[in-house]
Amino acid sequence: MKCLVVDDSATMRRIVVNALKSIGMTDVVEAGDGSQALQACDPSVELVITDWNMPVMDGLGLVKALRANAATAKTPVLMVTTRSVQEDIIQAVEAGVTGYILKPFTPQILKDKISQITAVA
Amino acid sequence: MSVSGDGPAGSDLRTLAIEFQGTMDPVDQLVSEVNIGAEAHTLRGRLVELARVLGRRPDLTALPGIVLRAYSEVTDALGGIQQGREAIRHVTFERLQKGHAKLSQVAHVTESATLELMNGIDRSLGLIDQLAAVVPDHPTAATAIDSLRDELNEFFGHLQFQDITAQQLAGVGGLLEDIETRVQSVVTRFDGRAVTAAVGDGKGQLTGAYNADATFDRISARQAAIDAAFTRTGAQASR
Repeated sequence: MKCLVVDDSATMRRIVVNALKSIGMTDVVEAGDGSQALQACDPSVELVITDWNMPVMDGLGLVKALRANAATAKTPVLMVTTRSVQEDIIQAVEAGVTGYILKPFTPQILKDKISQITAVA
Repeated sequence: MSVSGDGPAGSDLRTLAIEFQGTMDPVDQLVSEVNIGAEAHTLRGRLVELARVLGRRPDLTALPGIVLRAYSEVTDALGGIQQGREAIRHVTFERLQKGHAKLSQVAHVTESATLELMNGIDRSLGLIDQLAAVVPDHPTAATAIDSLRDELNEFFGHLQFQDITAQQLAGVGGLLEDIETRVQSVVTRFDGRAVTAAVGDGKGQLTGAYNADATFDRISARQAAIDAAFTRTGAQASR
């Protein structure tokens, strides 16, 4: 499964990529913000894992843009973020986020959530 | 009216100015009537009235002294304001900005250290792979190697602390910037002069998007609450 990891923090991208690798997902591309992610997100990408707070285009903007494009409208998007207030969750669901993980997470939580959202998708 | 008391000259000056105004009104009226060529007896009457008014204002001669005292007090007050401005400028630039620079330095050092730790773990995982290739069929060694790999991967995950603390530091940095801006506006009000930075702004590592509320607290409970809310909201949205 090809995965796109989007985070403005280089350390965080490495952590997510390493966690994916530890659960057997090695086909990974990276982007530093939502705008770069839109360029990198071709139809071969089967899962997008994105941070929320990023410069240029944030994670929520990225999800809205993906949902507005017929080619990526159904691509599962997993939001990995520190944001946890009720309003954020509502916004995320309304934007079309498929799954939501709080930082810090464990590889097992990531694995479980990926299994859950890709099974639904 | 006393002008030699210990009270501020301002109150004396105000009282005297009101009286001075009351005295100048009949003078002004007299001048106007002279200008329009009023009768001599009318002018004489005005002069008599003016003399009476002046007679009731014996302290007018003290006006220059009071004005000088008031000027001196205003000058002293301006000196105090100037000192206050300098004290605030010192706090703004030499404390707030230095504090900001230190936070930035902490963020930078922490990020560098985290990257070094990641490089070390990557190298260690590579060595573990080499080790696994050497002893592929040894059950005890294979189990130990897998455990070691899991431990290192878990350790890798713990380095998320850097992302969260960086966001917390950025939040404090943003707060300091806000305080600095407000203090600057107060300082500028003293004399209209813009305040310029005395030290570098030191914002390097604390810019960008962040969540100032990022926290390590109650992760499991908050994740469970999010899962529940996500399911509930998602179910409502899909109806």
